[in-house]
Amino acid sequence: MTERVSWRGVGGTRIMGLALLALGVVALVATTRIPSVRDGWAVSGPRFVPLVASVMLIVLSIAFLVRTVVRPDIELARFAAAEAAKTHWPTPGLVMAALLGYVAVLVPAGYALATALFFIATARVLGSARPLRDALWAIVLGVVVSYAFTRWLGVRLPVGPWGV
Amino acid sequence: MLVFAASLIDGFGAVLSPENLLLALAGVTLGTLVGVLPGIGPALTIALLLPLTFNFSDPVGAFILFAGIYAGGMYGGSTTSILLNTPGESASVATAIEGFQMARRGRARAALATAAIGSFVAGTIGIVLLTLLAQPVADLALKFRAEDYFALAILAFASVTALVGRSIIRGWASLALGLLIGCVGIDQLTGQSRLTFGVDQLGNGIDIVIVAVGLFAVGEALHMAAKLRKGDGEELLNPDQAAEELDDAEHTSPARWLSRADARRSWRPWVRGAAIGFPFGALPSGGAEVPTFLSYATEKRLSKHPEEFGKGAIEGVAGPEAANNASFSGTLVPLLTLGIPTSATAAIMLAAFQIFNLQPGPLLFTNDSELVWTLIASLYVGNVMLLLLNLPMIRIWVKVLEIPKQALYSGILVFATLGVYSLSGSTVEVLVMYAIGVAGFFMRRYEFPIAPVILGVILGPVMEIQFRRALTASGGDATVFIDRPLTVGLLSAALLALVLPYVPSIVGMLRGRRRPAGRLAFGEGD
Repeated sequence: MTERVSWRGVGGTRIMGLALLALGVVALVATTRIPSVRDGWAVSGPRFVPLVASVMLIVLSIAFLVRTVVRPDIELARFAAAEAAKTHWPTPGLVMAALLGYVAVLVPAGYALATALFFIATARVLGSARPLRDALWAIVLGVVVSYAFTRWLGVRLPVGPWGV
Repeated sequence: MLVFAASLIDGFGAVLSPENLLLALAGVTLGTLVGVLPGIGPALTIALLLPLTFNFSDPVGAFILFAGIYAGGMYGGSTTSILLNTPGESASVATAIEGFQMARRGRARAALATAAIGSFVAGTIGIVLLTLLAQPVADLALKFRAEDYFALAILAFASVTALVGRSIIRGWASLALGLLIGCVGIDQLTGQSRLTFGVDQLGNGIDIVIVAVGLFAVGEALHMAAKLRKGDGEELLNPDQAAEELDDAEHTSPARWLSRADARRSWRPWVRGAAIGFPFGALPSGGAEVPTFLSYATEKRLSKHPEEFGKGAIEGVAGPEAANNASFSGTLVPLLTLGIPTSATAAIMLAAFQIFNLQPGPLLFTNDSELVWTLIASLYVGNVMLLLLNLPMIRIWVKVLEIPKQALYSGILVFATLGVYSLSGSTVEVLVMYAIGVAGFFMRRYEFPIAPVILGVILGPVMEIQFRRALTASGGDATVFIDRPLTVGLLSAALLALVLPYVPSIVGMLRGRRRPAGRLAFGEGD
């Protein structure tokens, strides 16, 4: 394992630590905004547990960050570096974009069409080289699932302008 | 005791009707089908099919179906672990270590058989223990007060964070994350909205299904998808062909399930696995992750063939699979007697109970004893069905694994979205689930354990409510937590769980070793 690869792993862990720290701070700020006239910061009030949890997250993420500088966790850095080496970053990014697009068109386009489009797009993003087969599966999946869930399970799925 | 044996027999009587057997069969088949898909475990399967129960007039049928799905899902998980080296859930990670090596050496059938029979044996032991323990624990539970429930939740947190994963910091950070997610929504005692960031749909809190689906299904799909293009190729092993390519004279028959020698080497690990799995399931430790790894470590230490470990030792499959199954029977103890779910699947089962207006707890055994024993009996029937029907059909299940990865992960994301949407009927929850999925993706990349998050979401609210109730009842007097031996006992056990992993290094230091042995840990990295 070269120095450089280990360093890449450490860099990633630092970003992870910072993200957790940010999450903890956001939660702490949100905790101070919990309306609690009667109990205030009382131990038996609604603010206490979120306070403990967010402070816990802040302290732990700082501890985690410190560990990336003082006595870095080599094993973790190696693991993270190995993960990073195998990762093709555009793929998860595009999958997330496809998911967001899926949610955006789910209600206006109806379940079956949105699902079929999402399936085709995601399979393509993941590197499928057989668009025709994907399209066939996508249509079957969209129509069968929407039919089965609405008719048999009584789940209400968005129907869109064409009723499926 | 005799009364329970009679109740269990009545339970079997209820399950063994043609209609219920058909439901059990449907559950087992569906569960296996979904279980073999990596990333979709029993929790998501039951969550997806939860709406189905709205159409059942009788809860018994619904629970028989769920029990079948659960058993099938576990079996499916071990199939993927053995043939594909992709455990669907953390509970099957230990199985994959030796199971996949066995499959590579042409012994996939033996590995699958020892897993399935081991699950059956452990399930049987688990059900006997559950039968013996349920009533005493329910009686004890009647004495439980708010402070004891609080102490129990603390014990669960301590044991899961102390035992899972390699790093205490990351374990507790995961727990803190889970606790925060559990806080979101309207405060049950004062009606104040907490951490909702002005989003109305978050008022009811973030359902455990949303968290479990996000972390397991979406997190796993993203994690695998990210590595797909760089060809982190998995090899799928055919259980039949591999054996023929082998020149080892002992195992040349491709149709060989479990040889006599295999059975001889397997039965002790089955029993030991069950003995390890059951108490860990019963003592809330966040699922089957800890007991499966503990069983693996035990078998490795006790084996007469330690040199085979890492190359496909059958004990390394038999033990963890038994532990996995027994831990579920163990999970039913706190679920049915205290109403406390200790794993994602148990939490979703609790939701299913609530659909039928049943509140698990000490009184369930008196008020709805028929249902409880039918549920227990149906778990058993599900196991038998798996053994009789699914094992011979392994070739069909392997076909499911041949689905191209691109379609598989796209499909998992479709079903994850469907599950959450059908539960909530709103896209906001779906977006929350995606966000949790992204968190799960990064947690996997930096080895943050998942189990503490799940446990934090499930037990965090329980802990908080009971804590505040106890304090309110005592007029704010904190000594309420050290007044009674029961509470003190539970809290001391929590403390013990925290210290236990350090015992080897403390002992090492006392003996004057220079380099401490490090801490005991079980988890993905172990």
